[in-house]
Amino acid sequence: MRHEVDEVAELLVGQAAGSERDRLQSFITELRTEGCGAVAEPLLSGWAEAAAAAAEGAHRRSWWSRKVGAPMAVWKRRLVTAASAAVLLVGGFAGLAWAADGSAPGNALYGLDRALEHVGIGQGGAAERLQEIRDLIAGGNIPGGLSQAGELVGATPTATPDDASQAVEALQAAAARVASQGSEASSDVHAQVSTLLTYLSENIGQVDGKQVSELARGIADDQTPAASGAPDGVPPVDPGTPPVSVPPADHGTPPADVPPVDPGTPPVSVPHHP
Amino acid sequence: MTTVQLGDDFPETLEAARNGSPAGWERLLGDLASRVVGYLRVRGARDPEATAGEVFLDVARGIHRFSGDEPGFRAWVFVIARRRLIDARRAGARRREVSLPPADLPDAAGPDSVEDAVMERASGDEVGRLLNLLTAEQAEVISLRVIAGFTIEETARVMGRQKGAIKALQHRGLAVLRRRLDAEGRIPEGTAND
Repeated sequence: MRHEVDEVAELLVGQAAGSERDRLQSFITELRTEGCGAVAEPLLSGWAEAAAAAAEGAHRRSWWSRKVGAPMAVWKRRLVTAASAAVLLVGGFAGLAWAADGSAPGNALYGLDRALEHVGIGQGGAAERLQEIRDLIAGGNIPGGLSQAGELVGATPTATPDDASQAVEALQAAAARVASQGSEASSDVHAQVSTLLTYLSENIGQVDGKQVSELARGIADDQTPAASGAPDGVPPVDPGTPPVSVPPADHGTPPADVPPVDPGTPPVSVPHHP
Repeated sequence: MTTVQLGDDFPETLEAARNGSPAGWERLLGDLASRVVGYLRVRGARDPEATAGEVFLDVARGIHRFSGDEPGFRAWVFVIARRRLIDARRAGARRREVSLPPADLPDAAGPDSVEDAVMERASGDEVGRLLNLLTAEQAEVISLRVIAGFTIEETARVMGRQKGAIKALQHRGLAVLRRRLDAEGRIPEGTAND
């Protein structure tokens, strides 16, 4: 095996042979002396203190930069910006959808709630409709609740579509009838509405149209002038007839010159004369 | 050549230095500081001590990224010192408006390089004069080996060159010195046998 000669190493340890030692040894010694002179103590202390402070600061900076402050390439910054915007958009939309999900008819977000349910976002379904009906009725809006119940029944699959159709009409008629009596509803009406809600709750997936029609008629029948204080001349609504347009909000005593509205007759179009 | 090594205490000292302990830094720099200053001086730094201070600040700022043993740490410090020296030469060359080609990089350095010009002015002593006879890379190898106490492998690592290249540079550098010393009659009569 060939011995590898390290000329400098030999010169450093003074092992260079003969004149070689004399030639270069003094140079190496001078170089070593020149290069390895001791550093003054205050200078070393100063460097040590400065280095300690810099290391501590660098440690804090490196921790922080790892968290948020690390310089990023342009493409990375753009990616982060796009991702943040997407998160905000999705987050905002999710928050809006969540807020809309619990809204009831009449609420500003109700339209959004229904729209989202159409595309499969949000709870939706019969359970939510039923809850909305409960909320409306609990809030004193019985006509709204009945109208909503009509929508629910209309959207529920039934064995006999004709029965369902009649039930919807009966509920709409009951809604119109209750609305025509003003904000006050008798305890009988409340009891009937409660029965309807119980029925709908128990048969949420499979509604019997005839049964619902019967309950709806019961509600409408309670709106007798004697029981509800309806104005004279307003005949009770026949739930079997098609729904009529809801009369004006104030259904108190009509002016003497206005004939009583007959819900059974179609509205008369009055020609407009300029 | 003897270098004061921390040995088994190195990991603990390094950790103390990382945590910002001045005592830890004093121990870590200890023997190393004088060698860095010496290297910068013989390599022609205008203000070796100021440049060394900058080197140690760079070391401190980057010490959290360093991983390795004590020889690795020493080599890393000299890599930083070497880069600082190159930067200082470039800055100095611009300030003095020296009309020389931008060949101040060690790899491209030759007898007419900025480095040699700076060296000529900075080192008036015998050592500087003799080192100035060498190319930048030859002088670099000799300085790192003698002053920093690096082995050929460590010198290769600091300079970013192959071990064989370092050996060749060292051999050629010593040959130049030998010839010059012969010519100058520094060899006592009758002792020269080549």
